[in-house]
Amino acid sequence: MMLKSLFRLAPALLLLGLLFVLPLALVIEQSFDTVPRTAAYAWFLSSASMRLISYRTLQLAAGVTAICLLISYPACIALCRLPARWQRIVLALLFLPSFASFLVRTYGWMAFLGSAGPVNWLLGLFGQSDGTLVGTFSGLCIAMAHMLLPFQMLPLYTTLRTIPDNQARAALSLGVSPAATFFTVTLPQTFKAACSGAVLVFILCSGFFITPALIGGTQQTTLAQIIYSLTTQLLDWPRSSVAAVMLFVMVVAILALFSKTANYGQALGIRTTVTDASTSDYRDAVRYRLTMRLLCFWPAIPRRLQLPNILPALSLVVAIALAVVPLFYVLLISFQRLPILKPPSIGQLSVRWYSKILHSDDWISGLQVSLSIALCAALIACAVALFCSYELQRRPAWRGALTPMLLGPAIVPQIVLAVGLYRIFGAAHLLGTYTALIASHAMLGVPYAFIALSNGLRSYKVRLDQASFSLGASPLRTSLKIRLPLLLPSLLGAFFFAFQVSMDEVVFASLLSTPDMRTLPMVMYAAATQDLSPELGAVGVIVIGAIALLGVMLTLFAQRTSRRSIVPSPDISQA
Amino acid sequence: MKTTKPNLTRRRCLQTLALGGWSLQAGSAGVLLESLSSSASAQSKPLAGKTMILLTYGGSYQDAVKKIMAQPFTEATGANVVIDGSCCEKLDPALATGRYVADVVLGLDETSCKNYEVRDWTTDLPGLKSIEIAAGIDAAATSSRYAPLNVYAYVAATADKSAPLPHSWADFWNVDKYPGSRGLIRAEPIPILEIALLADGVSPASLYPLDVDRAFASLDKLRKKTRVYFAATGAEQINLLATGETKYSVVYSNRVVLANDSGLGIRATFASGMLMRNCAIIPKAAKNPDVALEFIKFYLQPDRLARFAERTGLAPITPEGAARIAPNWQAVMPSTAANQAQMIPVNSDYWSKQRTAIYDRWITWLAQ
Repeated sequence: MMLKSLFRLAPALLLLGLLFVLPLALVIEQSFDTVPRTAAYAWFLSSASMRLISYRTLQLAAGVTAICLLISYPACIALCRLPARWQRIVLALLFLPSFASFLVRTYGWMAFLGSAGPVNWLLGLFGQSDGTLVGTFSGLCIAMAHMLLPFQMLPLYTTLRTIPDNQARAALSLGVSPAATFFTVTLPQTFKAACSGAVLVFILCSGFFITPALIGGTQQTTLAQIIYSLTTQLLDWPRSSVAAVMLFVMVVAILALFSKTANYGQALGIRTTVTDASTSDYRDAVRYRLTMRLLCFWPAIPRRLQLPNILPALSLVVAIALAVVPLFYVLLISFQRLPILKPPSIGQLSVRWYSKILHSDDWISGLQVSLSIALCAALIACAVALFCSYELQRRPAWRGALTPMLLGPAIVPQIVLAVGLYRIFGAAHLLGTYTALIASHAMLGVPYAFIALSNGLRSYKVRLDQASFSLGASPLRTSLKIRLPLLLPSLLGAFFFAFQVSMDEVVFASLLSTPDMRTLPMVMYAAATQDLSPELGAVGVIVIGAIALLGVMLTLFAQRTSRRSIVPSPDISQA
Repeated sequence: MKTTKPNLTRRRCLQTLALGGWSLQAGSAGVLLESLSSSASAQSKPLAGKTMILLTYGGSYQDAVKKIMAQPFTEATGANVVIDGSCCEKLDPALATGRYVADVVLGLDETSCKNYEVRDWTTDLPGLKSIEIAAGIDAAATSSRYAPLNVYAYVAATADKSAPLPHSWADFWNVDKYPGSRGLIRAEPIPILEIALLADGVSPASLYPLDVDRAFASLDKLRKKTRVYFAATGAEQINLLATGETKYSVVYSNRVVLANDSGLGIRATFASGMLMRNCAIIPKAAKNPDVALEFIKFYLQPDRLARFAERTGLAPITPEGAARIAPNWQAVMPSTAANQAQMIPVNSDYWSKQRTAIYDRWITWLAQ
């Protein structure tokens, strides 16, 4: 029995052990590869620039987390008040854009934030004629909030939905103002979910590097950018390893600090069951009160605090705008005849970039390479995650120990892993092979596939297996006839997420690939850094269209199968 | 296409073989002769059957390399060129560990190439130097470790039709006389520090070794007077000029040529422009250095250099190449004698030695 369990967990342990844990260990080892051993650490700790850059990285992460928290709370409340059909549409508007390539979305923000964008027109209305958001802290915060808002909204929305309406109504009927009701009724129950989301936003933000490099100014240089420069430009590997270790230590410290308050699995989309929530409710409430007291916030809330009723609705509109605006800009720019990021006037309208990409080998071969890599990587990630989540479902005791490793690749910045992976594949003589890139993309996809499948397996009834066995079906037949059809929606969801992760990855690809393995994101990255022409916009429109189509198809499919199936299975739009 | 090329040639070989076998069986002398003569013409190309990996920048630059250099080279020599447009994330890690990444790397700035020479990452090829001399490159610029390919300049520019162009770096720094925001680049301190010193009154003759403290102080002065935007890439600099985000910017001369070719209307001056070269290297781990050498020889032909300049704005390294550029392009090229006379060459020897030391300070200063 034990052997069988190990056998089911082996693929995950092997893949993540070799390509996630080992690279981290190698990076730590390399950071001491100096004379004396701690020289690089001494450099980091004594360098004023590194202190400044670390501070700015944290500052950016804090700013983005604050924006996400402030928008997502009222927005989620407004979202929960909507009729179910509208909720579906708004959820699609909020979450589907995050599946379009982040390079395309970064590009959309570059166009939007530039002086030709409406932001500057707005700033101009307020008398700030010289107002600009290009290369400013605020501009970067807005773009990063767009990238990370889904991670904040997902846990909040799923938790808020479980709070019955009549709780708030009861408070209101007792004469408590809506704002005070929020602080005394809603906030305590959603505190944990909000923390989980916020911690994740903070950590992911501190590890981002391409978006800050393209949108931020020089004063927004982040630690991840420094790791990248030290690795690829200055080749100072001990130093870059130290910077990576420091970033990693920071991530782990924050995770540990909030480990009691936050549930990272939930933040990434693993749904907690009702029983999970209620057993810890009391402890949560106590912790919440303590935290609030520490913040000197609790006594200050007036019983009759009045906030405008329009606030939740307005926040939801802002959240939707934040999600959709860059895509809209990508669409506009793609019809600009001139090679600049500016919405076209009537005379500048043109479809030249569309015809250019259709006649270019680069984009098409990039797409072919990316599709084949993503297909293989997603299949591997799904297979690995399926066995592993199945086993962990049956052995809750092991869940606690293994979940951090299984979710790790989604949390640890890719640039931290890239250096270690380069060494591992170099030693294995696998640099520049499909094997290397597919394996590392599969590793990146495992967390997402694991989450989607865990959610699916949670509602799967083991009784059905037993029934099948008792009727004389073989394990294979049970798998094919019972398990697979019931798990199909979650499997499709897992595949979709893992596929998307691979289709969007540029850091590993640019270090591990050879010329005939140039992926679509690599071509996009070259277009964004070399040319910055509307060509990338045209590609973006195609990518967005494809994602939207796929999303709609998967949602419809999930609805159909969930209607047909014996047990209710989760629909993917909420996973 | 890149992947299928070797397979195609292999398949074609097999087809030729099969055809030969069939024709022998059939005893048809005509078909035999035909297949023999076709293989003979393939053999007459000196590098037929060889394949080389060329690493360079992506996007439109890669397109130009492919159309102007790689495809004609394949036609002339028979050698297959696989272009990798993902320069340069993996280049340095590969060079440092001695891994094969490419046979030739195109378009690196001269400072990096000299830096690679110091680190002994490129092969010492006497044949390379003779190719450069034969092509007519100024002897002082030649090297057996890398090949200079093109010249380009860092120049002052504006997209505002009514704004006067600054004619010196002191003018560029003068925000009262030339009001508006400024654009610089953040990727490298080269030659931003030179420009800052020239703006501060240092004469071109006494520029090197750079007074780094004074350069940063001069940059501080500009940053206090107006909004200075340090763009991440050369393409972004042009975009910011064209959208009006920056009023005056330091830009690459080749990007000005490209921008105006597509109708953006950017004016630039070569006055006090900083003149630089880009180069090609043959890494030590190259598997086909002979093909790479032939390719560089092909690249340095006056006609190729001129066509490449007309497409990319990167001007020929040789006077013969510069002379072949079409008359309507001459005025915008940094290789034209009248333009070159106004410019100041960047000292790449100095930078190849100081780059790492100054880099740390550059990042600190930028982050402030």
